[in-house]
Parts: sequence; structure tokens; C-alpha cells
Amino acid sequence: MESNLYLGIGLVALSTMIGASGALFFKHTSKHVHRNIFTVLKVPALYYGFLIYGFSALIFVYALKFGDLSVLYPVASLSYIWITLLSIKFLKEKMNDIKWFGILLIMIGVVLIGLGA
Amino acid sequence: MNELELTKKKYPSKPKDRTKIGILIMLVCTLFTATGQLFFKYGSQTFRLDIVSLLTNYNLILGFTLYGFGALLLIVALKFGELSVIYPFVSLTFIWVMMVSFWILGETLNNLKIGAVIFIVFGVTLIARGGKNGK
Repeated sequence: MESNLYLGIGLVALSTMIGASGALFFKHTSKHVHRNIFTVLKVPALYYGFLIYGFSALIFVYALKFGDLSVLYPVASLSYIWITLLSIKFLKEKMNDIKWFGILLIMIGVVLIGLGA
Repeated sequence: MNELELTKKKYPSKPKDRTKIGILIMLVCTLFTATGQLFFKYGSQTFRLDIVSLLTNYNLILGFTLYGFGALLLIVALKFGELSVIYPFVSLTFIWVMMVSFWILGETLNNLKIGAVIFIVFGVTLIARGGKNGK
């Protein structure tokens, strides 16, 4: 059971990496939201985003077999770390000490979840 | 007048106000996502990687639908601010999911788990604050 939980945590980590890249497509899609919200349905990036999100969610659901939701769901917070790094790299968003400290707190949180499981 | 100018006319132009609207939309988004998680957990019990099994897993389908609505709201919210500011508000979901795990799924809670969620929410909030003020 113990090793199964680690498999679950590993799968959640993998799914968050995939999901984070989906968020980039959603950000791209958001540039095309105008007065009529349904115009987003014509943006191809929306569907790439959904496809990537869906795939990541499938891995996540599979991972949920291997442990409590209250343990595995918080591990998904790793996605904020990937999102922040991807935002710097691809969207040229600014990084600073506050954001780095936020990332540190999330990492501590994920470790605490592992210890509390 | 180009499309960008039209959009700016439609929505509040002050970046701070725009971000606030985005955050409100995220609140609704997280409620959808958290409910989706509950059905994902139910669906995971019978999860198998074959088409028939996936298409008849109604908990999974319901979970995906709720998740999809959440994602749509996320996209709308992203219109109102930087990805690195808006996205972290998904972290409210951690609080809802912890409550759902305890009250509905009957999972055990302990101080480490609660502490972990507090750390995560603070961490995510700091990332948001950093995005808002740290220029």
C-alpha cells in the first residue's frame, strides 16, 4: 500500500506537468475573448488546451486509485510551480522574491502532505 | 478602433479593478472544480483505460463536465489579468477539497494535512501578490 501511495503521488506530479502546459494554451485563448464570449469556441488553442487538460485529468483520476483525495489533491499544487516557471519562460512574465517564496511554501506544503499521509 | 481598444472599452480599464473581477470569477471556478474532484474520486474506483469503460463511467463524465465548466471560467478570468496572478486562485480548491474529503468521503484529517494546505494556500497567495505588486 505504501509503495502504491508513492505511485499515486508520482502520477499526480506527472499530470500537473502536463496540465501546466495546457494553461499556456488557455492564456493564449484568453486573448481572443471579446464582447461575445462564444467567440473563444473558434480559437484552436482552446481545444489544444482542453485536450492537454483532459489527458492530464485522466492520469490524475487514475492516480486517485492509489490514495486518499485529501493526500493526492494537494500534491497537484506542484502545478503552480510549473505554471510560474512556464510563465517566465514563455510569457515573459516577471519573477521576484515574493513569488519565489510562494513556490518555497508550496514545496513545504507538498512535503507536509507526504509526511501526513 | 481596433479590437483591443473595443475590449478595453467594454471592461473596466484600471488593471486593479480588472484583476478583482478575474478573482471573483475564479471563486466560482473553484467551486466547480472542487465538486469535479469529488466525482473524479468516485470515478477512480472503477477507472480502467478502455473506451467502453471510460464512456460508461458516469462519475468520471460528470467530473469532467464540472471540470470543463471550471476551465471555461478560468479562461474568462485569465482575460482580466496575468496568468501568474489569476491562476493561483485555483488554490481555493484545496480548501474545498479538504472539506469534501473529510465530510463526504470520510477521510482522516490531521494537523500535517491541514498545515500543508495552509502552506500551499499561502504560497499560492504570495505568488499572486508577487505578480500584482512586484514590478
